[in-house]
Amino acid sequence: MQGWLSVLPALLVVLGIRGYPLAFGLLKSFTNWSGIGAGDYIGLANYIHIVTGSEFWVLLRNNLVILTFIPIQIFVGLLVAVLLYEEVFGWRFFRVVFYIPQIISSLVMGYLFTVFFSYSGPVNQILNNVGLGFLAREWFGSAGSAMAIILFCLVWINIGWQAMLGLGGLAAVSPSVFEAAQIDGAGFWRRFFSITLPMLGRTIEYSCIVSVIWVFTGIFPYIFAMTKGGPGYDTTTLDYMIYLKSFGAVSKPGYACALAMILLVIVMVFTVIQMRLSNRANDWGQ
Amino acid sequence: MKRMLCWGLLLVMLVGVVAFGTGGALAEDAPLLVWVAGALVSSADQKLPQEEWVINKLARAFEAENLGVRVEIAFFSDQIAMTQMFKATASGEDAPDIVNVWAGQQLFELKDILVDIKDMVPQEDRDNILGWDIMSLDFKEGGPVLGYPASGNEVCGFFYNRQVLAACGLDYDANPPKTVAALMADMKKIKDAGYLPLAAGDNGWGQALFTAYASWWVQVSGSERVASNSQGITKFAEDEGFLKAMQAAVDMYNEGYINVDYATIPNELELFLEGNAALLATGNWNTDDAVTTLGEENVGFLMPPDIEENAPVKGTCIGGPGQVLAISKTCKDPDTALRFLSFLSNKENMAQIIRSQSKLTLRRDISAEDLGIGDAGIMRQEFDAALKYVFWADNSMVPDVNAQVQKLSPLALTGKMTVAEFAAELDKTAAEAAAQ
Repeated sequence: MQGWLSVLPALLVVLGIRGYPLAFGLLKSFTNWSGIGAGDYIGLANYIHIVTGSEFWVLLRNNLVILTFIPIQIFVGLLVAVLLYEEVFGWRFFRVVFYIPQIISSLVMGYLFTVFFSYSGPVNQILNNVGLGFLAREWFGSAGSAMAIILFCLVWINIGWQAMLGLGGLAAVSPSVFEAAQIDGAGFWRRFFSITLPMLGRTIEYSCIVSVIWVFTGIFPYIFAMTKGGPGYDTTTLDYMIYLKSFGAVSKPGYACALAMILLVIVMVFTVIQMRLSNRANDWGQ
Repeated sequence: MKRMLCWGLLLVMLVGVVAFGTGGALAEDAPLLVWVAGALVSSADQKLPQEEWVINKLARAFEAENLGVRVEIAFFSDQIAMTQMFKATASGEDAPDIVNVWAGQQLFELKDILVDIKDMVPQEDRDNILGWDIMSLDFKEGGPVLGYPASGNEVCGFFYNRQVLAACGLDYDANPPKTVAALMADMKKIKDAGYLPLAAGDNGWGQALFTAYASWWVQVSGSERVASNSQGITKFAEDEGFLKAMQAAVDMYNEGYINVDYATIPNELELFLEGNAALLATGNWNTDDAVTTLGEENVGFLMPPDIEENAPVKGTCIGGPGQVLAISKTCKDPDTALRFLSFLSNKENMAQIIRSQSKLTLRRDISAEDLGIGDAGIMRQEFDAALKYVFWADNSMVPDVNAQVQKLSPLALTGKMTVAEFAAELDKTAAEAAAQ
């Protein structure tokens, strides 16, 4: 009882800030609310329209494709973490440099990528100048290259965050483990794959869960700045579509609420699956 | 000490009572709350203190003429978000009395929460202000009028660089192309001379489509057909004007007359300003930049040539009042609100607003001379063209279909989707929107 009372104030705040909009959104998802008045109750019509339309599956596919950046981000981020942990030459400088993208506005980062990869931008100019002009292209003009640039951008931005997370995890590992392995003749890669990765299981689990949630709910500014979901719907994600339906010219907040509820379920399912898989993996490690 | 404490408490109570009383008085003397976007507060104004904004100065002038009336201006940089907030507040006490929204379908969507001012507009305003047809619900003459045309007129088409055209042996001041076919022939000459004929960009909203190519569509089909296609009543796939206009644009792209990165270019204006392109698909909002960079003597405005010699409507370009000031149904004093709108739209005040916005006149009795526009030059060309506008096609379509056009048109205009496929997709969206 005392425990419940001690968390009650925080619980009330969370319920007020998170619970109320959630309940409100859930109720509105069963209406044709246009933002004016209360909207009429239309049952599951919004949900049926979403899952039977082809658009939703394209958006979901895009989100799933973007998820593929997570293993790359974790691998590169942890690699950087180990290099920083081992205090390689200039590690203090690189620690700052790698983290800089995290503290720059996501819209600014997205716009920088737009400029860099525009048809007449620096990337194509460099390719032309070094004799690789055949590789120059309209990067955001086709689905494949636009998605590749988005993935590259997300990895690049998150390396610093992932490295800091990895460093935090490594701090909990006794240095004697690494020293012993080094004395036994284990090289850098052996230590990385045989010690670092297994001992950072919980860190990687946390990173995976947070990154998956972020892919479904947090990459809106990058999509907005870089491609606006184009070409066509080829880089439009679920959260971007929620924005378009809520605050774009179309303005169907009832429909957007239903889409948000579906997104919530997807994120919950992914999180539960990841936690179960991760628990099993950590059990194997013991 | 106790005495001091008692006096202190008494003082606090007195202040509270006085404040309470004042609060009641304020509630009775509620101001006319006006929500405006960038269309009424120019970027230059936004850098100044609020009391120096043109719209605020006009509000103070209105207050001086109408003693006892107080006007409060609230500025929102994001007009779409403002419209959503207006919807959300329109059933409550926090709603503004007057709101600045986009003309066309976005205005019509708000019909249930706006005052029909059809019988309130003074005859003088009816006679002198352009755009009442656009303020009428569903563009139907005699229907409810949902607001005052605001901010100024706009006009779209092509800017041309005189120096580049001269280098290609062309002179659009003396001999502008009359048809799309003639324009295409000129574009070939420009391309052969080593210049890009047309700088154009999508910019996430189909900019070149809605500023230039759509004029050919509306010329043939008319605004009502544009609207009815989007409502699922008629079909894009059977709309001759739509198909012809899109195909003309696709042909230009396929011939290499438009920058290859039309769909993704972030800065097509630079192509034109740097002298790499002969033409730019745009509107009057880029006039200042073009004149400043290229010099007034080097830049001109070309109305999109007619789609063909026997086009049903000729000599028109996209434009019209894209902005509206509308009165909320929650407004307690619609008559005063209307008087304020009429005041903003009188000859002198509208001239002030359009000067600050670098826009064109919405009043027939404001002459080019009144605005300090000479007999020649790009401003004069735009001023003359603005009186021959056909209304924005994007604002004419229902929002779902407009959004789909914005999404898919870059694919269609760059050959990644055929015009027929594009039309079929739009018909599908229109049918779905109509079914809802």
